[in-house]
Amino acid sequence: MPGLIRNEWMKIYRRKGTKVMAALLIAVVIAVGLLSKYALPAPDEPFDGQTAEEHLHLIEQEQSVNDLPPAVEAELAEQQQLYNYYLEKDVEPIPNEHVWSFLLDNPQLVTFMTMFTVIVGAGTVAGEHASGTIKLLLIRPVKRGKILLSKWIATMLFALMMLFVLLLATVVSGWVLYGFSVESYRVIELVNGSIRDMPLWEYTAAVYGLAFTELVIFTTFAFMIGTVFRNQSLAIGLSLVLLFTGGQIVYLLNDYEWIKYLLFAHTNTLQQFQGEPLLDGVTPLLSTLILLSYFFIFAAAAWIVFTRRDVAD
Amino acid sequence: MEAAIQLKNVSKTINKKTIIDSISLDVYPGEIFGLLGPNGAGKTTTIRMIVGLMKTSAGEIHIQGQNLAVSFENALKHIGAVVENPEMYDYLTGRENLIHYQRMMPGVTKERIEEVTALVGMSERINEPVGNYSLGMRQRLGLAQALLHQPAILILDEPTNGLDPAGIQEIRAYLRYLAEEENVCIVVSSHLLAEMEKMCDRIGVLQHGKLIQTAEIGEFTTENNRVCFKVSQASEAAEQIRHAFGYALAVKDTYIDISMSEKEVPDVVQLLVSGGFSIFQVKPAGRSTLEEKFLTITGGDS
Ligand SMILES: Nc1ncnc2c1ncn2[C@@H]1O[C@H](COP(=O)(O)OP(=O)(O)OP(=O)(O)O)[C@@H](O)[C@H]1O
Ligand SMILES: [Mg+2]
Repeated sequence: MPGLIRNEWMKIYRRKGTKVMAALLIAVVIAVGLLSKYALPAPDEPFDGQTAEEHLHLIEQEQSVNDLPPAVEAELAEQQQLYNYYLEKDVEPIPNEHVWSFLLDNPQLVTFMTMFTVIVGAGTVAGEHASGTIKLLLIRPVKRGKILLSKWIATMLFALMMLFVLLLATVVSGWVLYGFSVESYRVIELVNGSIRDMPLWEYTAAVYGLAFTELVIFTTFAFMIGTVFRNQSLAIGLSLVLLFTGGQIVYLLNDYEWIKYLLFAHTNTLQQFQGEPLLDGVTPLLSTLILLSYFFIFAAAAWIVFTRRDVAD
Repeated sequence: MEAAIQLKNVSKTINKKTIIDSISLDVYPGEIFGLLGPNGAGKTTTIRMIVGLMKTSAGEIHIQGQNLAVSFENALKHIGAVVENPEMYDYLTGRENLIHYQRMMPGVTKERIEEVTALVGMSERINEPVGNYSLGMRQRLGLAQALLHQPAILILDEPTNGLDPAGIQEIRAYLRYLAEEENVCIVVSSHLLAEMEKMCDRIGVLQHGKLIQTAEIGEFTTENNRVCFKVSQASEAAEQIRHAFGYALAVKDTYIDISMSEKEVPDVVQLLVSGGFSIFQVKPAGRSTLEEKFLTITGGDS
């Protein structure tokens, strides 16, 4: 098995496309960093870069204005709760213009990365059929199931490598743009009315980890379509269309009860983590179960077709 | 001696079309067996089933006594093969391609890679991407990957395709060496009759998915003469002869042209006499080469 995985890794790694993808990812991180620092107008955040005490003071000032719309009032009350907590625990909020803010803004780039892993996942079996190399691959004394598994594992290793590239590029370009810092912060947020207080590294692991589950499920979907239909373009197209429209589909059809069993109601785990699930009544447990069920269906479909198919091309 | 490859009533049906029709065949260690047949006869399909790329629709395949459908890994470890064109990873070098296959087979050392590379005469170009190779060079690399684990069975689909005359000569000599010295069981397929004649010990003729005849190469070329019979009701007589002896034959007017050896003539005469046919003439019709024989059998001359 280690030999099989090394083989698949070699085939991914030695392709020209792979290095282009890594370079593109780094370029996008740098571009996002430059844009958010220089091109976009400074966000309308009067509190940025100040101590919790100053924040609270400003909030009080705003509250003293008469005839505030109720929404703003509620927002201010939440802010007050948050900064009282900061004061109580004697911690400082992370400034907006800081390497860690940049890091915490970037999990969206995992979705961009998903495009690359979908391309690799879609091609790993389909490409062998297209080039005819599948024949010399499958006449070895190795069960087909093992070959398929090694291909999936190598695809996931590629995804992990890209995640590592993304994190490294984000931190390094964050340091260059916002100054070097390894100061530890806490991430304090108001989720569903209560305070959530996490160490920075734990929070980072959580958001990137959740973004990565979406990547895993879409990449596995592409892998399955590529395996079953032996067509890389179809697998890439279908996966990316669903990746970018899945949320809309759920949004449009959210009146139906069955929609909560649809995969896309659960793929945006990051949104759920931030306390804004796509659908009401969707719990983390339900999401986990549904994501796992879809994962096993995809895996089983790929496995059944691949291990039984007559290879005739 | 136990057969290295055994096909027992193997059939293959794709989309209700019978592509291989109940083939039974034993191939032994130390022999070079040629699968001969025109385009579309089913040579590649037969090979695909032997190497496990396709399942049989009916019948069994045994490799070194192991049932392929039951113990796939144990059967496949004895086989080295090239199926149709030797397609390799274009973006990898020749050596990386061999390393790729080496990792998939137990007990193959790095030294063995150098050995097979030298053997197929590719040492100079082995570090270049396969995308730069010519067809003949790919064919050589294909042979190298098939030989990597020193298999007891070697299966080559149209191995001389794309090779220059010197390359063909080399392969022929090397296959001969493997069969005679290393006792390897070799199956090659081709529609190039002259090529088969020089390379093989035994030939099976495949047509429309049926194995219509297997014979020693000697029987085809030397022992086998053609004998011409002039008889009454020639077509009916021909049918009876074909049924009784399975000879390849052609009928023209009142003449039956049969590929058979002289010593079998009395048997045929006996059959015709007891069948009530009148025999007017029995005469030698010359020696048939494999090519003529092949065309007669497969009806390629009509
Ligand atoms: N996947 C498939 N689906 C349907 N028919 C097929 C398939 N593969 C092969 N055939 C048919 O089976 C028959 C035998 O094909 P095969 O490739 O085995 O012939 P061959 O003897 O190798 O011919 P050639 O000399 O051209 O290589 C052909 O009629 C072909 O059309
Ligand atoms: Mg063929």
